[in-house]
Formats: sequence, structure tokens, C-alpha cells
Amino acid sequence: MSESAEGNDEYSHARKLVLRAAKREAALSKADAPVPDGMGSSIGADFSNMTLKPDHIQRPCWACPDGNIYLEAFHDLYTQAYDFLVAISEPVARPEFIHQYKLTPYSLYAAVATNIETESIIGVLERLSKNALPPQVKKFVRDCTSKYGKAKLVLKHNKFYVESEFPEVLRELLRDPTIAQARIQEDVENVDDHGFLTNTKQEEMKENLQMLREPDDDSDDEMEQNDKSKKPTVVVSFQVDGSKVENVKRQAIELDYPLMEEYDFRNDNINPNVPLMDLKPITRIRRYQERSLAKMFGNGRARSGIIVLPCGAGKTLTGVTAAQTIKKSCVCLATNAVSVLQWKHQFQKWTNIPDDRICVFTSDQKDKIHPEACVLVTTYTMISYSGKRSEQSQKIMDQITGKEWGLLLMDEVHVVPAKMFRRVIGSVKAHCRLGLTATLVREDDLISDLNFLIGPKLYEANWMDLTAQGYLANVQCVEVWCPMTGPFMKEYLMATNARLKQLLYVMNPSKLRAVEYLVRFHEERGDKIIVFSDLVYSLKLYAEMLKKPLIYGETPERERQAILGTFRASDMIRTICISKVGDTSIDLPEANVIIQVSSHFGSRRQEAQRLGRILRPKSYTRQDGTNKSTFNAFFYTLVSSDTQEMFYSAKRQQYLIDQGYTFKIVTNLCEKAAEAAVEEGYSYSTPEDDRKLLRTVLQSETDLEKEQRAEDAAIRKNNADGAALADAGTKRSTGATISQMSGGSGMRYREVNSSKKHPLFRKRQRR
Amino acid sequence: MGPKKKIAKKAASSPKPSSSSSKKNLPPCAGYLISCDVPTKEYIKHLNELKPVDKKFILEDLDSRHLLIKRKARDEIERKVEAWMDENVFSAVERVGENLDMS
Repeated sequence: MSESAEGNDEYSHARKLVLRAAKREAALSKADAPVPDGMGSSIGADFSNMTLKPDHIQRPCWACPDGNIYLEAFHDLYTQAYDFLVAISEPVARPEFIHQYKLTPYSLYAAVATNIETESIIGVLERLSKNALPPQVKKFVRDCTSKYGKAKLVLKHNKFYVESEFPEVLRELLRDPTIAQARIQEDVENVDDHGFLTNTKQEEMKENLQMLREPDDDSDDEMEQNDKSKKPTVVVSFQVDGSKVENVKRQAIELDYPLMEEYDFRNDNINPNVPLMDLKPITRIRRYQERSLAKMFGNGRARSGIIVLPCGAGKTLTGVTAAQTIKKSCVCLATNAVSVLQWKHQFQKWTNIPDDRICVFTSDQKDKIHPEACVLVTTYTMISYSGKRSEQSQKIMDQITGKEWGLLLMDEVHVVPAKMFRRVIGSVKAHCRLGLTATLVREDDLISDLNFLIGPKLYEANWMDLTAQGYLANVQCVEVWCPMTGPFMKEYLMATNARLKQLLYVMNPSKLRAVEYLVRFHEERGDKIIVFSDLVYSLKLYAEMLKKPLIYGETPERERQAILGTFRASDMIRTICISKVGDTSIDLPEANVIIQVSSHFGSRRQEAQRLGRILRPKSYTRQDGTNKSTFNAFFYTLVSSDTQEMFYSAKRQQYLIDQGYTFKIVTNLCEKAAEAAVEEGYSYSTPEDDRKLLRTVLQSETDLEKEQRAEDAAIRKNNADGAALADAGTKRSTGATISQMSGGSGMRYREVNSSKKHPLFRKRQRR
Repeated sequence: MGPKKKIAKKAASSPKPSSSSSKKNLPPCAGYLISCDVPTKEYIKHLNELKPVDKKFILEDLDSRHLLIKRKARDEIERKVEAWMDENVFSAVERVGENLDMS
């Protein structure tokens, strides 16, 4: 079987599972309570016939028949309920007081994967719910979990075992001829009457199951005694032939018993350990990082899955810790060459790994792979590249495909296009896969595929809780409405070209004044400011107006380093202007104020990513729980009111709103800025200046197009890896409706406007 | 996102008693006074531009925030301005079922 075919195979399995899950989900929504008459639409449903429990005040959540669960975040039992709900359901929105969760097949699959059983899901949910648990929900939970996670594929002592607590499941699997054929009979003593190997069950870590207990249960000791007096759970297993594992997996999916893979890395004595890969004593792991890893290594084995942590919350350290726990060879995939170097640096910072055991494989740097065990840091593009490679890199690639890896660590999994994923998974043979991401959103439905390609979502941190605990800066998000000035509005209304429209609302003079006002205000406070603009033309103008350094695609590397270095190290430069190169290929320094002048239409991911730049806690961020009360970072988005920008801006904010951020809308800042402009002599203060600006804008339309294209080319050149990645994920859009252009209709957002367009589509795009 | 509100929508005054006007050179004509913000005025002017010559409804462009329009155009303008304001509003209801809807 060729590499890519193997990857494809795995992919089609995932699709199959996705479709099956969708069917289950559809069944649940059909079982919805009837929509009340007269409403006429599907918004809102009538659940007034649910029975309320008499002691509902003491219970924290509402479980609705359509699978939605609402949690009171101010309730005394919030923490317990939160841990449980995050384990079994998908968080939909988590504002300050009421959280919304939804039961989905994937979330239940994830729950089962971390050893939470069907009946305890139902039991605990019943206990937490204010209303009697609707029968539809019970049925849905049973339906989804009856088969998932009942059987596991365990890699132990370098042999594959199919393991289950339920002998009947194994018997059913063995009825299938393909699986039966792959079975290896063993001659050992601990066999039961069916010929299955018996073992005591690996105990799940106690803290993972803590939440399943009665919340008001003081008799912890008693419980433990009960546990002890109970016989340890017995699991049965049979061995399968290593060469036929793929067939077994496929067949199990056909039988709707998808095998969950676990890797018993402690008992793997064939693959050598990476020597000295231990955390340095100074490394501190935070509670939520520990919790996420506890989910992964819950029963002493490594499970595949995805961990979701906000930007700036220490994703890298989590990944490094996972790698050093397994201690086997590890492939670490990043999105571009810059983050590859960052990962390498982080590995060296937190662990004692010897220099020759960590190698980098990018288009510029090709280290030799250590013959025994090592950590390899590379990019998605390098691994999945399908064209002809240079001799040197082909040699390394052969080594990668020929080797058995302990862990496949994938950074920013949400950006990787499906096609690339397939190739990566096909060419790296890893026993365990861990995906890391900050924003598990994308505008296509690959998220559900990830559940099966990598594994279930193991942990998702709550942004607001981390903020309250002081692990993230407390960000005030502000949307500043800048009214268009008369002449600009006139041109905007007449413009037929989308580019020109965009240029007009970005160059709106009220916006220029507002930026200058904000920059002056925050510089006086001693803040560090990053001004973002996607349009290079306007970026240049803003930088010129503010007299601040700018970085864009064509800025030479040395100049870039100089600017960033000064910004980071001293107060000489307090403000920098950055184009969208900052999104993909620059290791941006930290700041505490972001001013977003223009952005990429409706991309929720870009918004979250930019916010991430100021999320890292500041030296003065308090960790005693008082962080919630004072803002110490500011995220301004300037929007020209009455233009399309309003629509995009609202769409972009959705993800952050779901995480509990509130956007404060300011409408009078522009008036203040206009006054200050006259008093303090800003660059654009009189109507005459505005008119001049308008004239230049209208004349420079062609330059603008040229510059934007040059920018894209430069980004591409400087960062071959990142750009190719963005290209591969790009779907061509005809952009007929606003929602389509903004990615609202399930289109992926494009990171780099491809300049190599098919001649047939060239015209269409430009309009 | 709360619903978007324009500061000043329309303060339609009663029809101007044109007959009582004693000024010279002013044609006798009844109309509405619109007071609105700058962008909205630009939009109304834009609507006016699109009309053929005999259907123009602006009588007098008073200043950056005020317009005098023909009486019969009032309904149409109100409707169009309303629609224009809704155009740029993003509604979160649209995204129900996001990455779960797989039909």
C-alpha cells in the first residue's frame, strides 16, 4: 500500500464516522419539542412541559430535550459541574453568567474515551439538572456511547491487543472473519474460558473521575473503601497480528465499534527513549495544563486527542511536557519555519534535551536525524510535499517514513487543510497523536473530521476562568465606530469596485484621527502598541502619519529584526505598524494595546489570533483572583460605520464573544479625536486635508492593487512554508453574497490572495 | 451586538407653509425637512442621484445635516434608509448549527 493511499484510507474512515455521527445528531434534533404554534419559525422551542425538580435551586443546570445544556456560572456547584460538562459536551458559548453546552456525538465519544461510562453520564447529568432529564437526552447518550469506546486497540510490549471490559464485544468483533484471521492465539496462563487474556483494568486517575461523585458527598473515605472492597474490574483482550492491524481497524469501523487507540509507552521496550529529556526543575506547570495532560495520560497510557488552550496560555509547554512524558521519538509539526525555531527553542528551554537529539527539518535547515531516538521539528508542508525533493531532503523524508515514532505533535491543527492532513498521517507512523490549537473553529467542517483523524477533544480551557486566575491578561475589547465623512461616503456609495470600497472605508479620515488619538493616549500611559492593517497601502499611510516604523512583506529581514528588537527591548519604539505578515510569519513581540485598522473580512480566526498577541499575562497581572476587576490590555477595532465593515466586524467577533468577551462599543471617540486634532495639530485635522487624502486615494487605486500583490508575493517568498499552507487551504469563491465573501457560508477564509489564478476566474475575482 | 441605532433618524417637520413665505424667488412648494447625520445624508443624496431628472426629490441641500425633500418621496426614503441600515448588520442567528450541520 502506498503512503498516500494509506492516508486516504484513514480519511475515508473518518468521513464514514462523521456521517454516522451526523445521522445520530439529526435524530436528536428531530426529537425536539414541538415548535409552538404561531411562532412560525424555528427560533426558540417550547420546553415548558418539562418537570422541574422541587429542589431545583440547589442544582446548577438545565438539560433541554434538544441536547443543549445551560449552566449557571454563578452557582455554588459551578466548578464541579463545569469539569463534568466540559468532559461530556461541547461548549457553545461561555459568557459571564450562563454557559451553553451541547451534547454531540463527538463530545460523548470524547467522554467515553476518557473512561466515563454511559450510565454515569446519565446519572450525573440527572443529578445536576434542575429538570427531570428528558428521555430524548437519555436515549441520545445511550445511542452514542453504546458502541463507541467499548473496545480499544492497545499497543503494549510492541504487540497490538484489542481490549475491552466486555467479553461480548470481543466476541462480536471476532465473529467477523477478517478480525478473526488477524488474531494471534497465545499460550499464557491468564486466559478465560473464551481464550481471552484477562487483566485488571488500568485505573483511571482519581482526579479525572472526581467530578462524577456526589457533590455533597463527604464520605470520601467510605467511597474509597467501597472501591477497594469491589473486585478490580477485569478487562479481556486478544492479540492481533501487527501486520493486519489496519484491516482490523477498518473492519471494526464497519461494525460500528471504532477502536480507540492507546499507547502503553512505558512498556514499549523496542523503541528507545530520548535520553535526558526531562523537564528542568525550574519548569512550572499550571493547573489547567496539568489537567489537560491528566486527560491524555489518564490511565498510564497515552491517548490521541486534541487539547484546546487560548493563545498565550502555554500551549507549547503543554506539548513539550507531553513529549517528555512519553520520552519516545517525536515528530513535532508547526505551521511555518519561524514557529519551528520557536518550538526547538522551547524544547531546549524547558527540558534537558541534548542538542544532537533535536533536529529541525525545513526548507532552509536540514539537520541530520539521530539514528536512535530524537525530536524532529518540521512543518506540515515539508512532510506533505508531494513533488520532487532534493536528494538531501528525500533522504531525510525516507528516514521519517521508515521510522516508528512515539508521538506526533501537531501545532495549530485547525489550519491544516484536509488534503495535507491525509498525507501527513499517511507518512508518519506514530503511536499517538496530539493536536494543539487555540481556536477550534474553521469555516469548513473539517473540525468533525479531526475527531476521528486525530482523536477526541480531550480538554478545552475556559478563557474567562484563566483570565480570572491571572494566567491571561484581562483584555478590554473596544469597537470604535468612526462615521464616514461626507465626501468619502459619497465615493463609497458610488464605488462599484470592492477593492475601492474597502480602501475608502479603511482610509476614512475619522479613522485616521482616531488612530492618532489612541496612539498618543496610550503612548503617554507607557503602553506598547501594535497597529494592524491588512491593506499595505493604508498601512504605509498610517505609518507615515504616525511617524512610526512599519513592517510588511517587503521589509528586509535585517530591518525587521532591528525594529522588533528595539520594540521588545527598549522604550525607544513604543508603536509599530504591521501588515498581515504578522499573522503568519513573524514572531511578534508582546504588547498590551492592539489597534486594528483593517482586517481580513470576516475571519474569526484572525481576530482570535490577533487578540492572542496581548493575552500573555503582564508582570503586573495579579494571580490572586482579582485580575477580573481591572483591565490591563486593550484591543481596539476601528470600524467605519454604515459600511460593510460593520458586518465583517460583527462576524469576526463571534468566536471571542462565545468565549465570554464583551465588546464595548464607543461612538463618541471620533468626535473627541476631531477636537484634539485641531488643538494639537494632527496630520489630518482640517477638511482640506481630508479632501487631499481623498484625491490621493482615488488616484492610487492601481498602485494599491500592485502593492497588495507585491505584498502577497513577498510573504510567499519569505515564508514558503506558511504561504503554501494557506494556498492549499484556499477555496475559490465567486463571492456573490456578503456572507459568502466573509466565509459565512462555510467557506474557508483565505490567508493569502493567490496571484496565480486560473485565467477563467481572474476576471471574476477582481470585480 | 445590539441593534444599530442612528443618532438622528428623521425629524419630519410638518409641511412647510410655502404660501405664507414672503421671501422672493422661492417657488411655492411643500416638503419635509430631514435632519440626519452626515453619512445618511450622503446616502439620501445618492438615492437622489440615481433617479431620472424628473423624479429627483431633493428640493434644497441646506447644510451637512439637513435636507429639504418633496413630500411624496418621504415613504420611499424612509423605507430605503431602513433597508440600508440593516444591510450591514450581522445576525448571530444565521450561524446556528455551524460546524455541526452536515446536510
